[in-house]
Amino acid sequence: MTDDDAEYEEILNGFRREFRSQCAQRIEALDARWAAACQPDCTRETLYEFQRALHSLVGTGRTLGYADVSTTARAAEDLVEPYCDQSGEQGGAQCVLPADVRDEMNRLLEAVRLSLTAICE
Amino acid sequence: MNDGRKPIAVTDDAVFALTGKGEQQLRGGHTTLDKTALELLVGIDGAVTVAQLRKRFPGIPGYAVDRTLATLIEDGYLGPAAEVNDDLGLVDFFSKDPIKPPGFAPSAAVDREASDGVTSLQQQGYYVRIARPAAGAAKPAEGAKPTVLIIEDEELMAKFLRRFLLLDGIESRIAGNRAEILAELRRQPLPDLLLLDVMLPDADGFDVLHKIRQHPLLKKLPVIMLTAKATREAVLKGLALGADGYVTKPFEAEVVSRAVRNVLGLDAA
Repeated sequence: MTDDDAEYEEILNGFRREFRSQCAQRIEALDARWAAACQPDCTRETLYEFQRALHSLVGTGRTLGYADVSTTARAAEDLVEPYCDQSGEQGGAQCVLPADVRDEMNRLLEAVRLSLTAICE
Repeated sequence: MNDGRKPIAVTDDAVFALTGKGEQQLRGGHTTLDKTALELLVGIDGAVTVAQLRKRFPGIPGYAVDRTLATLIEDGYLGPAAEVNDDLGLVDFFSKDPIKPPGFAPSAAVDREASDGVTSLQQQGYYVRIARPAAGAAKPAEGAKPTVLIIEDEELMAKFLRRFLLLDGIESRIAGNRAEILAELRRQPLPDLLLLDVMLPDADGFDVLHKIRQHPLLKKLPVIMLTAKATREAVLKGLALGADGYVTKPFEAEVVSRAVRNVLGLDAA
């Protein structure tokens, strides 16, 4: 390993530690947004914020070496994304997820939590 | 070149796929192809026929699709789908991600989707690393470090990018929402390049790109999309709106700095 590689690894490890230290907060934030998304007055904006929280995990997780976080978050994001489309006529309108989608999301979110908990510091 | 073989006909029902060289154009971080050629490479997946491809790109005249395809074949970026499939297994431009985390037990429906190759699951493994020199962009002054504006709402990711770009001699500023983007674009000197995320709290990165390309003073500012929006449609949208590069997350830091240097026309550090 060259000095450059060692420096790269050291910096990367610093970011990995920071990410792991944020896992509990990230689960909390995700759960809060999901709770809001399950309310009867849920709007597309609320869903978008929930999707954004998942999307952020997709991008950051594997970039820092946590593939499971990205994979589980991607599955959840794929499920909610069609309901978050802001370009439709109902953009901004109330948008309640169907019960079967909520059930499936609960299952997928459990996988996201597990993947984060597994690396939590 | 075609190695003296019989020329490959671009007929309506012909199906082409990326060769290894074509993949390198989309995933190698340094692209030399023009916009139309790049869009066609992204749009081809080894399954659509030439006729379907023309329909997919209504903005590109049919003769231009044919001509560009012929050039891509002649230059070895594309080959007949069956041939490429036999030799390299690269026909499917998407790839499935086989990694499943502990405790992740897909339902029967999800399993069925995966085995049927449903798009949403195929998209998990899709990635590109497109970067081509920006036309007409001002290069940083001789000896000056290039400056990048990182438009990214995930704080950790923004810090990560800033840190690794600096290792490669690239300075950066950060904006995470609409107000910060506007403030940074009003600040002089302008950055040499934007690294632009798509999902921002109060803005859409594609809209930001569109507005930049319409603005008289900003339209030549080089932009690389850096996003986990990794569907074929998203990549095509970015390119069609005038992005000079498209790098999907997750990424390696070195890929991003190489893309920045390529787009700015700088030698690798």
